[in-house]
Amino acid sequence: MPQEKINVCEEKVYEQLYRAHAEKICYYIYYKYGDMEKAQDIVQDSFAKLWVNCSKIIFEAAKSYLYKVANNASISDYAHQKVVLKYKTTEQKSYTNESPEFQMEEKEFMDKLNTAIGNLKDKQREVFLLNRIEKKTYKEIAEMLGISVKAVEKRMHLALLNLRKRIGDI
Amino acid sequence: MDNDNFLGRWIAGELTEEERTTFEQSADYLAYKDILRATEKFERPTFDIEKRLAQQRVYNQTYTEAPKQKTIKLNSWYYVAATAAVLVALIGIKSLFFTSTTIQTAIAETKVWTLPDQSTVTLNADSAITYDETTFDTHRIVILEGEAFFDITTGSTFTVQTSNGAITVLGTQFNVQNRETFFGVNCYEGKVQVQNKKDTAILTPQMGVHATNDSAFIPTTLTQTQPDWMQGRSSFQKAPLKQLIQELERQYAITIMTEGIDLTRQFSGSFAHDNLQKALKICFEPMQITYTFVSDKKIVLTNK
Repeated sequence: MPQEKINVCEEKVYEQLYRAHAEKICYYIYYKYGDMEKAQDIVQDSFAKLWVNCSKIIFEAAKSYLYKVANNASISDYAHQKVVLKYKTTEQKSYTNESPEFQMEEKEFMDKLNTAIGNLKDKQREVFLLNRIEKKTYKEIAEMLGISVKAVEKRMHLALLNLRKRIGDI
Repeated sequence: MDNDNFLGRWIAGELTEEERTTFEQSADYLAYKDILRATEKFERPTFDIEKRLAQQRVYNQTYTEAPKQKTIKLNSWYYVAATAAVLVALIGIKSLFFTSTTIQTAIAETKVWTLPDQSTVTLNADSAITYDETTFDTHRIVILEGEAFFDITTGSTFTVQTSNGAITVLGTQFNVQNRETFFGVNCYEGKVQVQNKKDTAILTPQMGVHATNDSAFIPTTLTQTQPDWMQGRSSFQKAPLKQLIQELERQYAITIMTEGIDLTRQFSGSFAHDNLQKALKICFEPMQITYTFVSDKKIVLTNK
């Protein structure tokens, strides 16, 4: 059965790849370096590289190519910023059994956690956030980063341990 | 628990039944639960896929990959080829992206022009403005030679560039005079920032500054709500005689020659644009200067 080759140079295919991966790669770089604008630039450059080289890259390899290019770009162009995440505040209800003290404490806790995450090592933070926010399994993360599942598990363990240490007792 | 990736296995749900129950009874358990629960509340910044994709398409059109780092033998031919390629690319880019529009006025002519953002520019005689039609929406930049009155709609920063300095504003009315080394800006509405090589000034309504040869700004106070030339007059305040003569030449399309006259003498006053005889009389009689018509369009000035 002669299988038709999918051509990355075709606009439809290219757009499909973009819709499937651009956002994910962007968040991945963002979790690592904490600079959304930079992450977006890197995504743009990676996809432009894919476009320029589309004839040389087979469809099946496009994803890993994109991750590789994005990763290389982020390493070579290293201007680190502390990750500061935005978070949803608990909705203000007109009737609430949560006391103002509780809400204050919660805000304090969120801020503390935010700083603690920002202070994690890049490698721990990217794994932690990919797993917790992006809901990626260890296996998916391992594939993304090109490391073993065991290594992902280790980083996750260390990330949690460090967060707990930095936040202290509540 | 500190080794063997315990927490990592816990999150993946890979603890043994026994490990789990022991952990769930420990004091640490609640703290970790809290961390995980709080992490859920974090939001990622938005990434608008369709918008980004549209931008990507535009970006791809101009994107050229940085050359791979390869060692190549030095060969002068490469340089020739590279230089040629760069030149071709530059010319291509220029014709593609710089679609500049120039509006100019001849001697003794004024013109009102509406820019793409609905701002209006009134050009005095022998003046020109240049701007880029395609990028004007995002970068409001106008290059000015000569003199013009600007009435600018509010919006992004509007910049007027001249050889003697730059003016940046948000939305206002002002007059710019950029003649050879003379640079004068008058503000009639709003707020204007003026800059030359030596000085910066912020002008509020009825304020003006002028400078010659990149000197520091000399402030003036305005009495009108519009430049005089827009009502068919040119006025001067302690301006060098040379400037007066040039303005007369521009407004009446004449040539003025001088014999033994000190062109640095100062002149204050104004002349109308519709009566040459009267204008000459007003300008030169008080200065003890005689004007003689050599021909229809040629005048010689001599001291009395």
